[in-house]
Amino acid sequence: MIALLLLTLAAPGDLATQVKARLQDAPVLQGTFEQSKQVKGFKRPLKSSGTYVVKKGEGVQWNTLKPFPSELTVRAGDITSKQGDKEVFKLDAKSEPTVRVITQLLFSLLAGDLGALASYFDATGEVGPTEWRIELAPKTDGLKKIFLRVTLKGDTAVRSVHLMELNGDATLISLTPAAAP
Amino acid sequence: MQRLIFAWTIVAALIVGHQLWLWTHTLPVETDLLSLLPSDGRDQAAESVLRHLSDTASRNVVVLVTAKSKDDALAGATAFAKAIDPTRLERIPNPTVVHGLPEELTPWREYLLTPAQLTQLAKTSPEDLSARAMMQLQQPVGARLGEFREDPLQLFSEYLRERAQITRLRPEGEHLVFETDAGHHVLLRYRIVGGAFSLDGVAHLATALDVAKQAVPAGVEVLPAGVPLFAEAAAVQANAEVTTVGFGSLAAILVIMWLAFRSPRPLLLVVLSVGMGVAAGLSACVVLFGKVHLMTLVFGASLVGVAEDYGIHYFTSRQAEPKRDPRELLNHLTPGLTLAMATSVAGYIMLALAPFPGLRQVAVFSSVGLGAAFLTVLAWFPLLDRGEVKPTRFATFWASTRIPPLPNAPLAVGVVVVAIVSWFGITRLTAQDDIRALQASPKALLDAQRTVAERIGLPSPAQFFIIRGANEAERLEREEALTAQLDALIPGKSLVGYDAVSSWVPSPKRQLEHREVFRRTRQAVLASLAEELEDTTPIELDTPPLTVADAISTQLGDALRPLWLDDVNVVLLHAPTKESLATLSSLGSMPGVRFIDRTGDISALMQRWRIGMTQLLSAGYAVIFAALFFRFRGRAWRALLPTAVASALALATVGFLGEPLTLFHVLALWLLLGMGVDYGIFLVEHPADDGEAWLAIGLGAVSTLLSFGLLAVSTTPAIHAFGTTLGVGVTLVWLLSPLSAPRDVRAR
Repeated sequence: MIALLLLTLAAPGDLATQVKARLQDAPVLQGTFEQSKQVKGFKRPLKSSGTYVVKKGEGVQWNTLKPFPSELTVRAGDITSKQGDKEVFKLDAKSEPTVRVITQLLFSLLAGDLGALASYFDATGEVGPTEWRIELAPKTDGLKKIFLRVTLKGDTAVRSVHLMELNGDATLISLTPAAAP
Repeated sequence: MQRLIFAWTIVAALIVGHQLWLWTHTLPVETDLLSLLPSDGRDQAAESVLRHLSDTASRNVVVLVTAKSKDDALAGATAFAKAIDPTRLERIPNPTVVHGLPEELTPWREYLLTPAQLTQLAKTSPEDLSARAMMQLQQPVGARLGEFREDPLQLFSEYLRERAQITRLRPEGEHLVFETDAGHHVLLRYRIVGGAFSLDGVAHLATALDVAKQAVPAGVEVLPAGVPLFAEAAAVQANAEVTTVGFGSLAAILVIMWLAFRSPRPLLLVVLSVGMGVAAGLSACVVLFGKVHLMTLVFGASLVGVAEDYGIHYFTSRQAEPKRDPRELLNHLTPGLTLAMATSVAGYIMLALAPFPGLRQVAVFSSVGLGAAFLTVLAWFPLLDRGEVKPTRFATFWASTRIPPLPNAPLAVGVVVVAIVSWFGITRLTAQDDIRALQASPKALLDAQRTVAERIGLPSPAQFFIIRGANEAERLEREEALTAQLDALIPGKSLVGYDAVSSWVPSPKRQLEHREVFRRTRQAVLASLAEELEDTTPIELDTPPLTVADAISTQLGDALRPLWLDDVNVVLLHAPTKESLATLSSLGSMPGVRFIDRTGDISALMQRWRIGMTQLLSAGYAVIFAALFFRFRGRAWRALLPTAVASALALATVGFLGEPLTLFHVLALWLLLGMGVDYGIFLVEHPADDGEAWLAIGLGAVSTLLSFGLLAVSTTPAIHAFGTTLGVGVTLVWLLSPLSAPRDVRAR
């Protein structure tokens, strides 16, 4: 208990190291997700589910299977969204530089890379022996216009991401990592 | 005579005073090469667009820092910006953005759709549209703009995303960054400090940029571009050329005068007459034009080699008859000198006929200069030249080398031979009227400029459209009709893109159509999602359509203001290819649309004048012949023939050298006519002398051809063309003129 208290009071710079120490380091993270999104004006939260793959140094693949099958690929150079074989949209980093920020953010959130998130958010939180919980407050003007707060929870991997947007939308993503192959 | 001395002394005092004032203040020298080109007198609006384009361009320098990674590029740019000399180049700060463009344009979101969105919405079923709305919501990162019931399909975000691609530049901290296939770029913008360029022949801007470049780590590419760099390169080049041509000619005169007269007095007086000529020419230009162009100075430096003829002629006559009273001798020489001066001035005045401001300055500079040198000889020489001019061995030897005139029959054969040779040379000539081919800027600068323009997507300063209409609505509608045609050229790479107000502000008619589509689609999507939504009533905006004034008050203002003038709008073109010009030109016939092609216009003008001045040349010969006939009667042709023959051979030489024929070669032939005929006049005027006229024209010709020969080394193609034609021409006239001199008198 004292240990937990001490850890809670730890300097924010150490949070990243501590969380990193608890995370299992793997080049590829994959699993299934459940997403519940509360959008202002909708009666019920919008639920969706599917699979995800996070590859270190490459990007994120977000395959929604239900209710609308679609495939989102987020890489350093571009973001593409496909519905079946049809490309719905594609953003190229060369013409749209914010693509790099989005890519980096999504990757870091899903991988729990607090070091990389430090340039966008101020982090506070509690780190227990195995479980941890981090609150992120946006730091840059661009992000302050979008996010109110982001909460990450996890153990050896990120288990949930809770995004609170300024426009009232809230998204809770629960991740279930697949057993290591 | 007394009156002339008095009057000229007063004028000379005024000129000297003006010169002193000019040199103690700043000599107003212009370096912008564009100012030498004619303006488009037909269209005021086109002129003001051009002026605006060149005004901003003439003071700004951009530096593009490129590296493989963004961090390297940013670090390189920061190092460069820190190392640049702020007394030469001042950084233009990035515009501070208070509100984002999305917030500023939100009131008009229902009016704004891209053409691609319109087609997409027209062909998609309501079910698919609803699915699309829901699918967008299930993405993990949304960042939606506004409430769902305002814009369920997020058409406004999509619109902003597509429109943002018009400019690739994104502010990041104090830098503007973007990315292309070549790597990551940082754009630094500078304004030159101070106005005109100093004429000390040092490339201050280039040096400042080079020094700053040293501070940038290896592997980071630094490319500077901008009009001031070209102007500076031209100024440095011109400075070297003025020095070469001016001092070269002066040195030649001094050597020749010393050899011929072995006495300081003739030397100093001839230098005085030339000096007065150059000073008067400079003053006249400043008074008439308010400034002198650098190219006028380069060309004007050759005046040194032409204006000395009158003084030399005076002294060789003095030397031949040392006992004769100088004043009486001058009276005897005056008619010939006057005729010679008049023909030379006439030659220069022909330059002023062509509507090129640069040539007009040269004409004023040279004709006033010649007149002043002539008046100095007439008014001051008898007064200042007391004492004797002794014969020298050099002078006597030179005078004795005069070739005896040919009898008429061999002369006729000679003319026929020359005609045949010239015909071969002249038929090899190919004309070149393209102003682009006359560019003499250093290749490294041109390459950097082109690369930077391609990467940033700089609009062409020479080709653009202007659009007129009765009111804002009509102007925008006409512009939309035009840009629809331009859009068709982009896939074929004939055009990279364009800047137009209607890209941001559609015509009111089109905005209402957009809103109609926007609202219809929104209604359908909301209705089909009735089960999910608490409320299906769309949230509507009742803003009136976006006006140009509205758009200019947002952060788009800086980009839109130059495109929207009081009575015309402008569509700027990004890198149109040479091949696309014909198509673009044909779009100029659309209602209210006019295509401006500055390089094309100037090239066409050059061609018109090249052909016109060539055709007029025979009329010029007729006029000069009439003037000669008035004095020499039956012997008039003898004064003119050497010039005609030399002109033909000079033109043939250009052909044999494989140089393209330009307007400037043709204008040089006019000068050759004006100056070459002088030698004929002197020889016909004084047929019975002991060779002093031959000595005079020899001395004059050597210095003249040295001056023009030195012009031929100029890197400015126009000046080079004058140099070659006149160098060859003057040599030939000089060598040929004794052959056609009157024979009967010599035999006496």
